[in-house]
Amino acid sequence: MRGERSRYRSKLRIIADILTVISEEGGSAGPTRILYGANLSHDRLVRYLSEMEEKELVRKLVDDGRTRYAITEKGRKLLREMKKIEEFLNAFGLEI
Amino acid sequence: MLAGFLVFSSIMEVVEGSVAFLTCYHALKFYRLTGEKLLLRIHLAFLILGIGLLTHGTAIGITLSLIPSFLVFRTSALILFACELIAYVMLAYSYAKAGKEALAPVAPLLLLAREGGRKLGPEGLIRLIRYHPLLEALILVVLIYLSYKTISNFMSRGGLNPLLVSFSFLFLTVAHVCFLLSYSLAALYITAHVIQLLAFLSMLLMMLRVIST
Repeated sequence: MRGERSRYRSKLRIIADILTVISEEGGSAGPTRILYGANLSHDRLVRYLSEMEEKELVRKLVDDGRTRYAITEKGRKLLREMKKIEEFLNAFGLEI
Repeated sequence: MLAGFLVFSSIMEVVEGSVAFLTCYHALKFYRLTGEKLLLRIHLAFLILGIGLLTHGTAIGITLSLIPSFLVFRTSALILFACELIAYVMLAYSYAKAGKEALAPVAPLLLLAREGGRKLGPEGLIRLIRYHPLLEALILVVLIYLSYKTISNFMSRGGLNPLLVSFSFLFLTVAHVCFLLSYSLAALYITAHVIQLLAFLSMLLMMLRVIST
């Protein structure tokens, strides 16, 4: 899902990138890993994660004072749909 | 023989239109999820294309089983032309907007099919149920551009889905070349429809692959 894109990334694309990182990490990941994986600044990451938590795409887990974010079923569903959309647009040579 | 010709044309267009609607439905589903205008444009392009094909196909089929009407043939042909042109230009616009290259300007086109006391052979029938060779050529220009973009995409990206889409537009281009030539050689009209059906089946296969991802 994450490619080398010089273009502007849409909000949905960023959300999908964040979900992909979490998914690739086995279903949950720490903020630093997400920050690097999704190529975001700290401020933007915090904003996105908080919005995604509100929309129940991710769940915040705190264990021994360490924060992790886990992908929810709703998040997985969105990621699956995003993969379909990406396949569809790739077939045409277009992207969002 | 002429009636068989029309029935064949009608059935093919209804099938092709149905495939266009299926693609349009999935593009709409994806648009609703993402709100991306690009997906809305793809949805509208296939919706308009499907409307054009179904209108032309059913108008010919229904008219044939009732009283063949010159007016219905000409009107539905014009609707099909307008729909195809809008749909393909819409897709071409998506590529031009997303990509680096601008769409080659197309010469402004004008004319309405002149009619008159022609003896109605198969070629005459094609002139009646299709639009005009020059209008056909206009659509061909847009399709050549779309084929170029989708083939380029396949060359750079690879994969079966891009291949299917590039085949689809390539088949559509070849089909329209055959439609263009069918004004002089009617047998090519059948070839054109078979190739156009292959184009839509190619698109259908890609859609099925995407849905089952």
